[in-house]
Amino acid sequence: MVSIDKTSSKPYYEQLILGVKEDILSGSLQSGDRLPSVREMARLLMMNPNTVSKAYKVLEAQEVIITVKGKGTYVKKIDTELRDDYQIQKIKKKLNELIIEAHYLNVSKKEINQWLDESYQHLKGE
Amino acid sequence: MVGRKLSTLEGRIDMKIENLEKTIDHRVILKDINLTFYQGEITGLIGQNGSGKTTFFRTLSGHYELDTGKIMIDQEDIQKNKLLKQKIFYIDEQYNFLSGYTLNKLLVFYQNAYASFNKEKYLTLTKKNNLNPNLKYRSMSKGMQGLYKMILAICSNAEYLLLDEPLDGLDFIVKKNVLGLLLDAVSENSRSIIISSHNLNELESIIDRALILKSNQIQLDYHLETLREHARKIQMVFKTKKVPQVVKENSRLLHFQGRVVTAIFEHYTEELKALIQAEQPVLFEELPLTLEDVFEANLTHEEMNNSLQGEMV
Repeated sequence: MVSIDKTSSKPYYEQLILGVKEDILSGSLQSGDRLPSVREMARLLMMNPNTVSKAYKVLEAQEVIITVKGKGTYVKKIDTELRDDYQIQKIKKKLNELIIEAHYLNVSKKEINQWLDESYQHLKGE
Repeated sequence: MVGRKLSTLEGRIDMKIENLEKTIDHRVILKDINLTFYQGEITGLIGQNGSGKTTFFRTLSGHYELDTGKIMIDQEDIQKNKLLKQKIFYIDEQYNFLSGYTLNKLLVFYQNAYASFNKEKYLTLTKKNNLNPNLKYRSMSKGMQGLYKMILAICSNAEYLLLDEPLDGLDFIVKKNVLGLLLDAVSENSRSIIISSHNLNELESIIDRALILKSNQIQLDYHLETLREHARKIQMVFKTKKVPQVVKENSRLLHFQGRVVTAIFEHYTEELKALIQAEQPVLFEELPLTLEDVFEANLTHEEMNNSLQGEMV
């Protein structure tokens, strides 16, 4: 379930976006599932509805969710073939920066590989 | 398309405060207040006890006369068009008439005061929360009173809700209930909500924007999501005991502990990081930043200055 970490330096809407994506990847949200409405989500997380709405808009633009007027917001069918090259490049760049930082801290490639394995295991729900 | 956009912009409802000033008993309480409150935005008014939050609300709601300045709603002066006051909801915590009346009677009062009062919603909400209409306001518990005031505020259908410490003294369950009502109200129609509090923690996830009231003025005006994105709290140790200029210029120091400097950078960038790294800090660590830190940095340091300059009142 999505949650907000107040001590994180990430804006709340980004945390929410990430949370929904994580839930989808872990399978606790599946394509076709209905998401709480902006109002419900705001109340659930005791959070500003504007922030929730902003997160939903980004998720819609990224085609992660879809809002059907008068019905609700749903998780979109995940198309494994379709890849958003722009987003992928952005992530690659971020990863690269992280690796530089890690290298600077004397983290070995082996360790990083191990982290990757752990992360993927986590995604599959351990 | 363009034409439509323009018209919605023009039709945008907001409250604009210009050069507001208020002196009580020869003491300046508020001065140089220039602000706009937008619809759909939740604003937190943060200030220490005695900083003038209540005076600000009383002035906006017309309980106090303005010394100078103007308050405009949709470009109309509320001092000229008294009907505009229906767009503002405010209950004075200290001086109000609620206590001797039954809820039924209060409903009648508020229906008369606010032309677009939503009676249906009022009845649903009071019933849902088991508020007996024949009960006198004063015989309700503090929590119930808080809840009731929130129901009145929402059902008034006023566009500007001024809420003075609406969560103060409420237990956790009631607090959640009151906040829930408020969040629902914001999701349903766009209104402007201004909440005063000295407790930042409980407002942190609710508000879009925070105003800091201090030394009679609005000193700071933050959009919190922007702040979360750009501000960082960093703990550093430098070889020499002097704090490098780049740190001094770009941050507010939170505290010193021997060599350890903790500072808040409101506009943290990669370039800034590189500049600090160039000073070769022995320790350089990002710490979780809470809004309280930001406000502490802003509030306490001024105070130190004040006492140094002998400006205490």
